[in-house]
Amino acid sequence: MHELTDVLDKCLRDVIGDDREVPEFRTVLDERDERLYLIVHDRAEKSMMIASGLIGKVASLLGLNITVLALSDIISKRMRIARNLKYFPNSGVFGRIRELMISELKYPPRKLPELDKYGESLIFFLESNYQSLFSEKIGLMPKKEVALPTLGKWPLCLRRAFEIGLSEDVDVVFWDGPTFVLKMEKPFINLGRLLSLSRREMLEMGDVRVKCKLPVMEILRSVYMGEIEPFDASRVIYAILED
Amino acid sequence: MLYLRTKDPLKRYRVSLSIKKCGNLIEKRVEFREFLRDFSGLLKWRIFLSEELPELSHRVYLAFSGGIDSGASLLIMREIGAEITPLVVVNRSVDLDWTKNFLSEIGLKGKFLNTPDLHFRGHPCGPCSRSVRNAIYSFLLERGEDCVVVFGDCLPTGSLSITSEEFGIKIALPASLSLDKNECIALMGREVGEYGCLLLRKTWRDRKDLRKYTLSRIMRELRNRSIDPKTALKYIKSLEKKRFWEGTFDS
Repeated sequence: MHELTDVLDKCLRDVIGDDREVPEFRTVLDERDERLYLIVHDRAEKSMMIASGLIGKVASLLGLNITVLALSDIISKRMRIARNLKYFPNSGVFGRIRELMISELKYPPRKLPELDKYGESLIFFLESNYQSLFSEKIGLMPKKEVALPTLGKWPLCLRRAFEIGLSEDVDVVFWDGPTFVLKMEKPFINLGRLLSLSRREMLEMGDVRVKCKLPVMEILRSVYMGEIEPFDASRVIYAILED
Repeated sequence: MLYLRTKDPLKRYRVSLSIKKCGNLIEKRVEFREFLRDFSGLLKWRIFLSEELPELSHRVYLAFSGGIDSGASLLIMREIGAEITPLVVVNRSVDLDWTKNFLSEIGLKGKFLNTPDLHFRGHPCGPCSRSVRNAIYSFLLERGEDCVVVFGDCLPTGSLSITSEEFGIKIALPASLSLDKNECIALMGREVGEYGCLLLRKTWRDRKDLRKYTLSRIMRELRNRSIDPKTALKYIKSLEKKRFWEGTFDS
């Protein structure tokens, strides 16, 4: 791994030039996913790394997918997950979701737990059904997957999802609504928010994609939380303004 | 100034990166050792409650555009006792009357630098910031003395907030202190107003095809946590004032 870091450091020096500083970084290799994570201190350094154009070149040379991460983003993610751990006792459905949260605390790389079948879940998704993958991994088999846009406009679709979720015989409802609602007969959990996933990660992990329109404030909140990258968000908001 | 102290873990992490960078530069640029040590004191004061506000009686140049961020930088540097020379680059983005009034109110005399008129086909922010930087850098290089220049950038946080340049040291003060826009606004004693400069607002009105890039700038600040979602919404609304849009925003 040290050799890889040295090679990357030399490549970066070639691209950036001798007069400018190369940001400090460390590497994490995910062999299962053939992905190399470059971790820099902060977002400004991440932008510098990506803007240098090196990442694409090295990725094609090594035949690996390269993801640049900022440690500041990882710290925020871990803090949010750790803050929510206290709401999830170590038993039953909650125990399984807790396992998922603990595995995400070790990201990168992402190693999802593989647990035995325990019960069933209901999935309400906004753009991608990524929650099904997580649900299966923790032994909660998706009974039904419903795209939220088919239930009406935001946020009325959430109310409809809430009604359907309560009437179905499942152990847990995974949805793209508020992070979690636990003091009900069954929990409603937004895994994306709970695990601080980005929109790109959500789209990568789902096998069904739906186009939907969100209110501007919801998009801004997602950007602030680190779910949507700035340029993606600006394109979405621009489309709303021009519509 | 006291309310500028922070316990926010993310801000503390970013400021600690700036402190580390100061430490690295002390070894490289020996001539700025004293300044960097005092400046580290300011950074430490921001995140460690046990620290006292340092005196920074050094001479600094400050790139002043008349905006919130450079204004807040100016007030902070004045508060800690720096001897400031504001450098105002005169171009279409600067509200010259407001800038002159502000400087005379706080008792400072600015140095006004003229630049060739801006020519751009795409978004004005890139060419404008390049022209401002070039004007200031050439002014400082012509003087031929080692100096410190303070900019009002919010985005290059952490180790990129303090850099070694040919003329000396460049500091993006709000970024090095990890100040957010609300803190800058509070320092200036103002409320969230319109987004951007005169030129940017004119571009928003006249060039629909470039709006995406202006939005992208707001989103970058939001993603970096320099502004919060409510402020971002106010900025977008300030650019797009048509009543027609209000229903879209207020859901």
